[in-house]
Amino acid sequence: MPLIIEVKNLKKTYKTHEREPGLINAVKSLVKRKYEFKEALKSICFEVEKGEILGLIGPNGAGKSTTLKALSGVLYPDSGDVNIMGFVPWKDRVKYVKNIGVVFGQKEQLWWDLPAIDTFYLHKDLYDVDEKDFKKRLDHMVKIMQVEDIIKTPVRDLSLGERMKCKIIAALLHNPKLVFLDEPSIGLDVIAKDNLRDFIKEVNTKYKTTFIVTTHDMQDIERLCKRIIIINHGEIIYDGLLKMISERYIKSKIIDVKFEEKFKNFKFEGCKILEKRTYELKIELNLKKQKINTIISYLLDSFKVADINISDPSIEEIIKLIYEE
Amino acid sequence: MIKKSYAIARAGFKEAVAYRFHFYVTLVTSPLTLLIYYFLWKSIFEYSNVDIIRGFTFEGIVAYYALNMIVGFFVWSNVDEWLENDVRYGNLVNNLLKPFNFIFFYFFNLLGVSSLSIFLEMVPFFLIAIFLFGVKVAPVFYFLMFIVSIVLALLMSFLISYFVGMSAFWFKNISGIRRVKRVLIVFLSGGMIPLTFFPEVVQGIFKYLPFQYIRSVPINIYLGSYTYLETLMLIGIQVFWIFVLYLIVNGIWNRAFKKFAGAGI
Amino acid sequence: MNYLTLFKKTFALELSSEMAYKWNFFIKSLGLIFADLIGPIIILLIYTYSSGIPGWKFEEFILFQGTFILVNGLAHTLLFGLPFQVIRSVQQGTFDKVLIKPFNPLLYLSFSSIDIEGIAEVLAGLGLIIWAFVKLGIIVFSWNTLLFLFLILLAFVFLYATFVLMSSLAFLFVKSFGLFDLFFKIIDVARYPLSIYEGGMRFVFTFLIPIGIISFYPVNVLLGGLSIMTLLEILIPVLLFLGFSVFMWNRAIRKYTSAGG
Repeated sequence: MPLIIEVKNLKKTYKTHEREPGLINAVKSLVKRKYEFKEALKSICFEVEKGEILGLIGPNGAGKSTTLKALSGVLYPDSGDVNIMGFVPWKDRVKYVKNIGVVFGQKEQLWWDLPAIDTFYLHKDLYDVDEKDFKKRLDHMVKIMQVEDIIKTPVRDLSLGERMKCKIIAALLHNPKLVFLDEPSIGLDVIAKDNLRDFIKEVNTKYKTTFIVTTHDMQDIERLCKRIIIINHGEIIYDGLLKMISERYIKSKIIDVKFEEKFKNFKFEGCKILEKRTYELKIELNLKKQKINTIISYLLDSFKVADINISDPSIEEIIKLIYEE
Repeated sequence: MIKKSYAIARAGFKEAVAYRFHFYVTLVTSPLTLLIYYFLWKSIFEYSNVDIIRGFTFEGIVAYYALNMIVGFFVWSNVDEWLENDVRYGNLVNNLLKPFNFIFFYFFNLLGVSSLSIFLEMVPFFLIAIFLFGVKVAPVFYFLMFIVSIVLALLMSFLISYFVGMSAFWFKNISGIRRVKRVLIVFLSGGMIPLTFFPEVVQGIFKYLPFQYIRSVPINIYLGSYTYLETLMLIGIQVFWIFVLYLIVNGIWNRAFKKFAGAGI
Repeated sequence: MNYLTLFKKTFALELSSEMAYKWNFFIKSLGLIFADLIGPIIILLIYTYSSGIPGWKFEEFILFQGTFILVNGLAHTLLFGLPFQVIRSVQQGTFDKVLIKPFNPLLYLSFSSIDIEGIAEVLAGLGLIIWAFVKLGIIVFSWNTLLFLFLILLAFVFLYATFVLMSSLAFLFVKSFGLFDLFFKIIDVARYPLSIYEGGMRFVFTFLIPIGIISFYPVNVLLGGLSIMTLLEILIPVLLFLGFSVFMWNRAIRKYTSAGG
């Protein structure tokens, strides 16, 4: 598939200043300021093919937002080349953004005092959407997101999840070729998250829309992305298939157990105790040494278990593992 | 382009409608404000025992203040505050992502708001001024030129507001700067006292500044203080100032965008 | 923590958050003082090209303006935050946060509603008053000055009672911000001596909405003295008004809490 995004040596540094709390320090800072330089992007390179759903993950402050902003044309980087659909995003901004959609999970994007439908119609005019296409897509998306009842209510009276759904509709109405989703499933309940993921996959299949998803929700990644880029401290530390991460790096599981009674010593091969409390235990299970069902059977047989939760190690843990390679 | 501009103005209009209560309050209190000026100047004129002070009769100065309020309703621009809020809440990016010139976007938004003020403030208060305060309706030529002039004044007011609002990139919190701008501009444009009350030297300086073209000039056009030719010339100067201000604002904006895209996005 | 500590802590917090934006702080400080001096400039212009306001010499009128600005500034610094906080927290449904605190809600809000910006107005007002004192040769340590200060205090109490009343209404009407705007426009009437108003306007603002309390009476007292009788005629209604507004406030709170907030 042809490339839709080409990023070469993208660099960006921010200048910030620190301030200590308290009145004395506030006065001090009037006179002298301590400035800090933060390298948000240390010269990153990557490519994206048309029709991909790419996951961009990393801890907070890693450089995800900066990358997103540079690619959507709202940020002037310090240096580097970016080519998206033949545009340099920040140079041809007005023409470029007609082809993209952006959804920010944590920002308000709809006109606050107006019903969402007003924002939709405004976008129709701003993006020169054909009347018929507009109606068709709008009706379709409203149905899928199940927001028929709320699009005529002022946005300020909607819940976070409802606003999220409307934001997504607003971003996709003009059928952009490339869509950035920044924490799209924040505030959505389980059903809505499922609907959203299915919807993204549907749009991706039908229109070959490229998606770049930034998220902390691993389920989003697992369900949507074949390929992920992990970014940390402004550098790309992994760029490849998700499958590989699972196979190579997720070598352990985290098991949280709650007991009904005080348990005595716990020891099991392949298990490292991460946290221990009177009625709770957090174990890291080394999958190479032990299978999940073995340890679960052992726990259930040997103790009175009230609750068990099995989860993957966090992004931070995975990144740590990747560094240790 | 026209369709898009209209769409943006319409959205701004609708948002203002959501806050129409504020307009109603202004409408109710504005006759009171005019009354204060009425009595103030009545007592001054009576005490001074003259017919004309600095070029104004008593009726003339009442008309001046009435029109001052009408012009004020229309050219009032909160764009500096909008920009400051957008920087503070990280919302600039949303407008940057729209396929429309960023500066124009804010302008048409403002135009939508000002349009509502026409219906809810300007026209009603104009009627109050005519029927209750004896303000005269201007002859056709001056009336039409008045309308042209206040639209141009709105553009000027917008550009100055935008200019001030950009300082939010550097200073983040610009409530102080906005306050100074608000007071200064109203003062220097003749919004507190007609500019003829300033010493001649000062008036001479004002001629070279853009501020008088925001209030004093439109008001005086309505009052027929200028000849036909002078009126057209002054409108021409307004257009000139709009170009100059736009060049300044656009130039700074491009630089600001390159340097400070970390803020407010 | 007692109310005085609350006040001091609020003050420190407000001041340091203003200073967080250093350029804004400087500009704002200068700007606020400058903004308050524009009024006197306009008065100067008026007195230069006309005989001015009947019955008021230039210096006397500056004294009048200074008093108005001072009282306004005190209200701005110490009082404006009160109805503003109430209206906003009622609108957003966060008023319970106040009720939960171990304080009388009215006193709590009263001692934590500081707006630093108002200090500039207070300074500007004081500056003008002092200037006028010097120019008019008024004796500072006199009975009249004492009464002047006392009446300024009464003006402050009057405004406090007004704000408490406004805040009470905030519990009934959601769109109370409009009341706020209305209030400021009405206050503006007091910017000029009551003597310039005629007819119905004079009547309304002398007997129905006695805004003369803000600057007209204090300055008249300073310049012309005051009898004990008149003093009582001002003092007693103001105290009654205060009592009434606190009563309304308590009723509003009771209604608010009984309705489940």
